[in-house]
Amino acid sequence: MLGLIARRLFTALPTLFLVITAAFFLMRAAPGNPFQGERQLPPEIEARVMAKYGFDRPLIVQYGTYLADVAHGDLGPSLKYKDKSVGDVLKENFGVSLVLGLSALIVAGVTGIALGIAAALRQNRSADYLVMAVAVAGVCIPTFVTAPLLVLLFASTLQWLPNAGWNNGALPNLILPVAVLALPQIAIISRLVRAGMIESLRSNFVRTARAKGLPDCRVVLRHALPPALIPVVTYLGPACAGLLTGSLIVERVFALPGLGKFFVISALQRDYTVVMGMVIVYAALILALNLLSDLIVAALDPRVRLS
Amino acid sequence: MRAAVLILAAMLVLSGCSPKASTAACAPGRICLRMGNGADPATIDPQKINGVEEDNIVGSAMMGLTTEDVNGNVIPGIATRWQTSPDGLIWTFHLRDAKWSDGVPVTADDFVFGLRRLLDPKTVAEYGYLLYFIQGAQAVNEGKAPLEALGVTALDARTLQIKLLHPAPYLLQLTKHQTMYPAPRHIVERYGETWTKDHYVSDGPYVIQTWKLGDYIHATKNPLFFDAKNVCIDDVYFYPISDSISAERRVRRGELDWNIDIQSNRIARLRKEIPDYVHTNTWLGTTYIAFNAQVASLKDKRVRHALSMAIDRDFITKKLLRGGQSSAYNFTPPGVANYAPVQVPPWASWPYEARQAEARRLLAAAGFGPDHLLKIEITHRNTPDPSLIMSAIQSDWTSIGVQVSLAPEEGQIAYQSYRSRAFQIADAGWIADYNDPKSFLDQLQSKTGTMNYGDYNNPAYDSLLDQADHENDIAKRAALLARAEALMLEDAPFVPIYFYVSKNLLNPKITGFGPNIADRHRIRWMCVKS
Amino acid sequence: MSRTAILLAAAAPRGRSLWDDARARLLGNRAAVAGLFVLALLFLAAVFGPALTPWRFDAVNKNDVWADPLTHGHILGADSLGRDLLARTLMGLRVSLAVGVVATFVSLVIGIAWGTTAGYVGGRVDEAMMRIVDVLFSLPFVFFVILLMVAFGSSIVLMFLAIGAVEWLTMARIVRGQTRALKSREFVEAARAAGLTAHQIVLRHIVPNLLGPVVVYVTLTIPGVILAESFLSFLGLGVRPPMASLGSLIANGAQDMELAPWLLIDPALIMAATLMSFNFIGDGLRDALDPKDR
Repeated sequence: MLGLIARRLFTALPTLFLVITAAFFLMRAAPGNPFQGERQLPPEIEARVMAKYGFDRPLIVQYGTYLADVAHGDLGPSLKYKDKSVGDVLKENFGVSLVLGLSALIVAGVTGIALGIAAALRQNRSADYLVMAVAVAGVCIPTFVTAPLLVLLFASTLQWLPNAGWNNGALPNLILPVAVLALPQIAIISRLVRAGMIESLRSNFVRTARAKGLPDCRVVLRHALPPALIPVVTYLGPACAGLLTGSLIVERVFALPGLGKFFVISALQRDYTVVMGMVIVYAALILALNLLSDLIVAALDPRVRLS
Repeated sequence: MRAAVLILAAMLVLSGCSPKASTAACAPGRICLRMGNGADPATIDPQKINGVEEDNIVGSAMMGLTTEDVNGNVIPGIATRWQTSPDGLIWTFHLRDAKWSDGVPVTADDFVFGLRRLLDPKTVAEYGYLLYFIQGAQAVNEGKAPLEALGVTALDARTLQIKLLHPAPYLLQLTKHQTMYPAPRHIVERYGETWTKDHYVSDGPYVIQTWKLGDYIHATKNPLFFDAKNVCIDDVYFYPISDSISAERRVRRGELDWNIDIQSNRIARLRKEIPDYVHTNTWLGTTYIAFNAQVASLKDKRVRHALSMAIDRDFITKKLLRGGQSSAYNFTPPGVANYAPVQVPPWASWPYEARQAEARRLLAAAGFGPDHLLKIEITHRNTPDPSLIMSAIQSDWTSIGVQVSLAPEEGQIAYQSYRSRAFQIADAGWIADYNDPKSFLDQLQSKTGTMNYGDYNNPAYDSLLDQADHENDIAKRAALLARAEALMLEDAPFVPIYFYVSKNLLNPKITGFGPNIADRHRIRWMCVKS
Repeated sequence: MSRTAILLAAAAPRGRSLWDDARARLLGNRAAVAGLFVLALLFLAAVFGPALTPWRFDAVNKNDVWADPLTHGHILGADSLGRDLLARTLMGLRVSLAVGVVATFVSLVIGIAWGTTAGYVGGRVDEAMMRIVDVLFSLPFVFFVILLMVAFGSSIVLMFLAIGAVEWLTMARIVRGQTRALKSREFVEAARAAGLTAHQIVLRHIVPNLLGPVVVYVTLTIPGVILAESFLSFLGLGVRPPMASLGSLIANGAQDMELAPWLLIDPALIMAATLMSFNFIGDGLRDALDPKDR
């Protein structure tokens, strides 16, 4: 187990390095720079700003300096938000994305598993078809369609929930964004669980358990479910990536102060340092979650050797 | 599993049943205003701000020598009275006994400090050029003279003197503008450039308390403000909401009290459904497209005129936008102060088909036709209104036989390519910094440099503007400026399309919101009807 | 519809009975058959539709701004510029399907090349190549696609490449696994004994036998790619106006949904139908080719 963690951490470093390098040069390849707004900047002043941030030096030197700074944990100042450092931006907004992502993950997990079990137990009956229809719809309708439709229904028409806004994470403000984020994941997870359950319900150890006269509920939860969950846990990494992608849209539609909202804006406005900071955080997050899902798989299924 | 489903259901039921939209924490007994304010400010440092959104925030905290009333008129601010020398070159302002929000007196020196800081090349403020009519300002801003060379002096703690290069009837307009806000010298010198983070003090009606990036900025009433007893609203929350449609839904729902924008083509519908929420008003701004002077095919004046004629401005204003915008055939909007009527091109009143015919004739005369296609690209901002309009113009030009492609860009990147002349045809907008035709016409002077996107260069035009600068008689000055504009329109370095309107969506329970041509609505005048 | 299945069967070099079985199972799957039928219709509409509509997809009709469906000669109504929605939807469908198919093809080419090489050569090379795939897998790829579009400007070609370059990873993994399994099969051994080079063996014996899993993967990747494109369009990084894709139409429609709901509903329905068809066919194919998973 420790070996696995060590090895993963060992590969994580080159991965991060790759991420930083690719993002750095891509960002710099984009035309334009962050210091120009609608107003003209006199050339001598522009030169001064460029020098202040080191942009007058060769790109490769800037790259080296940036790597060294990152190694020291310094992500630099935000180029767009002059009163804030990248650290500030991440600190102020990461929490929102985290709450959003985790809530969606939990909701998607619980709902997806429940629906998957229900569908598997009633295989090829109407409940199964209903669940699978919902699942297909969940994968086929883009987040940015469900989001405005739900807003129109629950906020504008029924007036049950607020249209948008964070409001310090109040529950009513969270429901719609979390639902929108979770929906595609529910679809995928319920399909995975259904397939896994059908297989494990047919397997010998479940038959044995049933034959021993254990109550149905117990058989399902204790014996059939754990192996059926393995694909779900393996899916945790991609699910996290999916949630991040979704959060780019959801945070925008619901005006939530999370990182996703800033990513596209910052990229378009050439706020190099903020973009880099976010890419690093997201890459680290995905790496960590992949490791976590590997560990959980190992715990769930003793047959999996951690090699 | 059943338990989990039950918990989930309970969660949904519990939270889903709250009948009222929850609002940002507004403590009981306090009067709050929640406004949608476009985007997050890039900074709240008074000398570094640029945009309208930034001034909405900083301008509610900072107060200059003068300020604006409900209708945007100049009224005394920190200065109570002022006089000017007979030649209009020396202005003297007398300051009231005002205090910063930390109790330190506001002095004339804070204004000197603020102006020097704005023009100090080290500050990298982008707006300094606006004050180049002050003695020494340009030299200081370009780093060619020490800060002390600026013609602004504190005669004593409560008297400020400003020396100008030429008379400027718009100086009072600028004394309320963000470029002339004071800076709290005692704070800035102590905490340095990052004073805005934890040590923000202000001399206006509000004090900025917290700034949660992407979430909100919270400001509270400043008890030390000189007119604090007449300030009604206790707490202001500025929300960065770039999506004006989402903001519209939130205002209707009561989650916000005010949003500073409405998407144009939704105004007609809103007027029907919630007429008392919609506030549109003449605004000093013009949308136009500029021709790059380096592009060979656009060097021919006939081509530029043809393209201008072929734009169906009435379709754009009356059918696409429908927000009260008016078709523009000249640059300076109606309603601007100190101005005389401008002669617009004669074809402005022709029927559209006649204009199209004439445009085709001009193009043919310039040598373009089916066998020699005019091919051009329009670079435009990717926001809703420009995207809509440029598609319409693309279609208009296609119908006179021009091949047009569109290149949408993020606003900032679009303007950048205009400045570096990396465009053929540019979509741009101009909003006056002060209510005077010069705020528009200056942009087309040959010495303006990169902001003169079409590199318009006509010595006669420049000379008329110079003469106007040194003309003390307002009417004569206006005539000179109008002649300059007519001259420029005949040269057609660019095409005016429509005049802006300001578009605010405001809950009718908010009072103290007056129509004003600058679209600056100071919160100190507002209140909430109970 | 059944032509696809016949083509699949004809393309398979051996095990004809297996393919016959698969075809029978696929045709017995009602959802998959319906999917094939709908998809065929959609493809026909995308190919021939734009030429058959009375309106050009980019023509601004000045009197038809937000025309209701079935007025002014617009069957599905018109958008905020008076452009015919039917013409735009058909053009959007064409663009989305093209993006889906081409980007998937890009991922297919890279994935097969990478996967067969790793699987067939094996050993250290395999380990290194698959480790690279692992590393790439853990990158936040959406962000890179966004950065790519920002850096080089949005264009359809770049979109093909960017999305294709993201999707090949799964393909490589699947192909590598299959290749390793096939490598030890007797017909490959026989080919090797007959003196064929590795290159020939891979092209003639391995690649054709990958068809099954690859077809399944392709039908499931295309909808993913179409979604990815619509995601980029929503962020304003997709196709350039006045060109349309289903994604850009939906993104615009969502803006105006209170004023003109059809602008959202029509393209959204077409998109859902497209994605569902692909998903049903993909599921059907998987079940048909790998009966154990049913």
